[in-house]
Amino acid sequence: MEQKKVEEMLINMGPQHPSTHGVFRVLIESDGETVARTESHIGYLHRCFEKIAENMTYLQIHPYTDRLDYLAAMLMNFGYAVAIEKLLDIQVPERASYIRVIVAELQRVASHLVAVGTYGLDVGAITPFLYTFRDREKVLKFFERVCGQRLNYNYIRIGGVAYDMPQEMAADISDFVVYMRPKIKELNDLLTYNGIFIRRTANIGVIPPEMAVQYGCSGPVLRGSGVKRDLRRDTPYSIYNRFDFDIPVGKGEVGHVGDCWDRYIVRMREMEESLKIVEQAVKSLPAGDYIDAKAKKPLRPKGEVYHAVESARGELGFHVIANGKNVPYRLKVRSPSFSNICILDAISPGHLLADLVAIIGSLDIVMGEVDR
Amino acid sequence: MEANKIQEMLQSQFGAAIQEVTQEGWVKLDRGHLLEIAQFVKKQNDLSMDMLHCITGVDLGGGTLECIYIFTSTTHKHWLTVKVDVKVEDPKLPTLSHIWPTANWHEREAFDLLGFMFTDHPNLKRILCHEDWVGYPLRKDYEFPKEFEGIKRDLVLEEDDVMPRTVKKG
Amino acid sequence: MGFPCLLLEIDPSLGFIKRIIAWTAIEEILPFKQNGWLLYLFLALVAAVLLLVIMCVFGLFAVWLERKVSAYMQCRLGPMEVGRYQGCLQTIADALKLAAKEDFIPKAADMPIFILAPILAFSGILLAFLVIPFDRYWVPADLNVGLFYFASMFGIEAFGIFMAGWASNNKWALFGAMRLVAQLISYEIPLGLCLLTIVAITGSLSVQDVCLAQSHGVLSWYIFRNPFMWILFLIFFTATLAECKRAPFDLPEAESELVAGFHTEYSGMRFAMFFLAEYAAMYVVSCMCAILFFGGWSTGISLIDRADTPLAIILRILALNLKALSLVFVQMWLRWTLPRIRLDQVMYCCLKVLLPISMFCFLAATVWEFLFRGHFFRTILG
Repeated sequence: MEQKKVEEMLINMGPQHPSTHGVFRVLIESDGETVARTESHIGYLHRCFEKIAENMTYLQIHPYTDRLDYLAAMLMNFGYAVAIEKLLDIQVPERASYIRVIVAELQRVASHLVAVGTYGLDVGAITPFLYTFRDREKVLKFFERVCGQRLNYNYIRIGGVAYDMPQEMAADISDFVVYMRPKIKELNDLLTYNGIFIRRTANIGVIPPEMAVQYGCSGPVLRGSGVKRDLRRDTPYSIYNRFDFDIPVGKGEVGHVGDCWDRYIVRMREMEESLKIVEQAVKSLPAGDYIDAKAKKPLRPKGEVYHAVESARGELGFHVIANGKNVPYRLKVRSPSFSNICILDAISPGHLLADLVAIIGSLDIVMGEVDR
Repeated sequence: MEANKIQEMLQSQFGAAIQEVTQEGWVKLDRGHLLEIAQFVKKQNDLSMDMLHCITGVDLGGGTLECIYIFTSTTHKHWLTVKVDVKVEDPKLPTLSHIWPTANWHEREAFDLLGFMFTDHPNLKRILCHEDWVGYPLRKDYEFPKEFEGIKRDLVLEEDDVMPRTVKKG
Repeated sequence: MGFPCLLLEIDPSLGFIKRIIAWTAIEEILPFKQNGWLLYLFLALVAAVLLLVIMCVFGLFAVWLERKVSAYMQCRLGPMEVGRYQGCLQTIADALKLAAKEDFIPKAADMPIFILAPILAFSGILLAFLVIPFDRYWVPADLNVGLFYFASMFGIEAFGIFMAGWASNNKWALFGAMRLVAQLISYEIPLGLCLLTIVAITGSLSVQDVCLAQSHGVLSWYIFRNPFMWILFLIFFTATLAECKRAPFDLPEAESELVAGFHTEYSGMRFAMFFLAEYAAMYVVSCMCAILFFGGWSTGISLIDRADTPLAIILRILALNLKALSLVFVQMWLRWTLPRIRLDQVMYCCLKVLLPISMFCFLAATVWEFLFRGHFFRTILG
């Protein structure tokens, strides 16, 4: 009998697809429902932030950093501000440092809420998404009170923060921490330990620790693989060395270490740790200035710096080359999502189509940051 | 390990291959030794730079491009920045993508925006810009295209402008 | 609607239409009262229109209910504007919007099949309604092969949806269609085994006979007949969830994986037909579930079940609808609680879990029946 020729089906997932989390495109070679090979394509949201930054003064760049990872804009501001402060050797006032840590950790909670909510959506659970958005709303309300914005804050500035935090907010944030803890447990009951959810995510998209490191993964993706690395602890910046918090890592509780569930649970536990930090910071929030006087003058730094901070999605690095002018000579962003998503092509083969969605969701990318 | 100790170690190991060390902790290499040194810093137990954090580059002007590699270690928590200068006419560099798979995309980005040519790279295509984009946007002599695929650009950059702005015609 | 009955040459006891005619004395003013065949056709038409209206009204209601239920579960309000009470006219507004939309067929689609698909999917469900007895006397068509007819008509939907997925000429739609066919055909087997157990107990394929057998008080409901019935009920409910493509079995239209699944390319009224078919299917399987295990129109009080007064009839109709709606609510509840399972897990669940258990239960229930003759409670209670 004549041998029949079998071809694999090419499917284009994205750039417009509900679960690619933005304009991300994966070309899938599939054998039925099984993914044989994938090829990721990015760049649909590319606006060459780095080129724009070369034509902007240091302060003008700030709003653009918001738009990198728009779900964790505070942390983007934070990363940029810390890098420039290192370059200029600016000492941030105590109060500003505490406010920064408070808003940054609240932002981490908000960002992880979106991550776990949309992850639930990816595997078909719709209700947790609404629950997480309800709680995220409370965080956004705080941000609105502190800087008037809900998404792109432009709040953490070079040398401090843009506005002082209202006095009565500290108590409200403490209340929020008390409110939020049972909500995380509720989310755990509804989604995390749901039998179907565990079956959908355990042993799916396993990233062994060595592989995660070699692919430059960071943040919850790296920690999900069991590597205990968190820049807040390892190369402490700002005032993170004053707080007591744990670094949750994936332990393979329901499957192999480094599967989708591990990455998910790391985010859930990180929220608790962030709340812990917020609680401590609010308790010891000092009075004082909220921005350094030196940073109010026109900035003309000289030198070169690379500084990475722990963003919600991983290690966000800013590499700035300054030549004494009011605009940077070169500004490079090392975005965590960019490095995290490049592992997709390596781990997706052999999974089902539905698993591919689960894997992309667990990597938790933000295309604004991948494409910059 | 402290940055200056890493520099000393590399200098004692490779000697003349290290062209320059700076106070900030950077190491400038000759591109011929990049591969060798990259393998060394990854394998050497006191360094074990297992993560390639970032590859970037800068156009230094005067026909020189500088490629910057930033390594870090998940075990020792230290950092190392390595720089390699190449000429614009011959922007060839060895690829590191077989040592650190993450270099694949980072090198593509450096190629896309600055025009480094990574030899033996498995898939050296543009990654952020469109595939038929002309030029390397982050080079200092880059000229903004007047149009792209029939879409005219009416943004102009005047001498004293900080940002390109739209100019009304007529 | 009357067509299949004529085709099968089975006396369709269009009882409830005849009763309406008797009550309203409409027969007197009909011009063709002497002509039996014409009268028959007329009655069949009225029955068909009535069923269609019931189905559409229920569909509109169910969509609104689903929104409110999901909103309640998700700390939202849901539709609040259209209609005075809780946005109760929202679905009508939506239906009007869908009706006003452009009738859009992709260029590369296989046009005749593309057009036929939603009609087929919709009519399959509509035909399945034919055998649902709403009351002791009110049954559109009491076929003597009712349960078999129900299963086969319900299966027609699979054709419609596969045609939709195929004709759309879209890879995502094709994936959705393939998933659906795999799922539907697999789950027909445990579903059929549940039906078979009921048939074995009742000794009849007629749906009305199943109801009548359960109209001797609460304890005569099949769910209490033997312990295996509880398991069979759960299997039947799970299988119907899969048949209706409801979460956690909503793979054919898994929006996060397949964009919109088989109806990716459909819009406007064609999409609305799929939508309506889904909600009507939910209702018809819930009715069937209530009939098979919870006595159908039986109120649980044999006095009311036997009475022939308008009040008793209304109570019985309400009883069936209440049971069905409760099951519909459970379906909605599950949808807004559970994540979606994967295709291989769907198959595993069916072929390795539901199928063996349902086979065992079928065997056990029939043996039980043989031993106790259905009088288990009477036997142990003396």
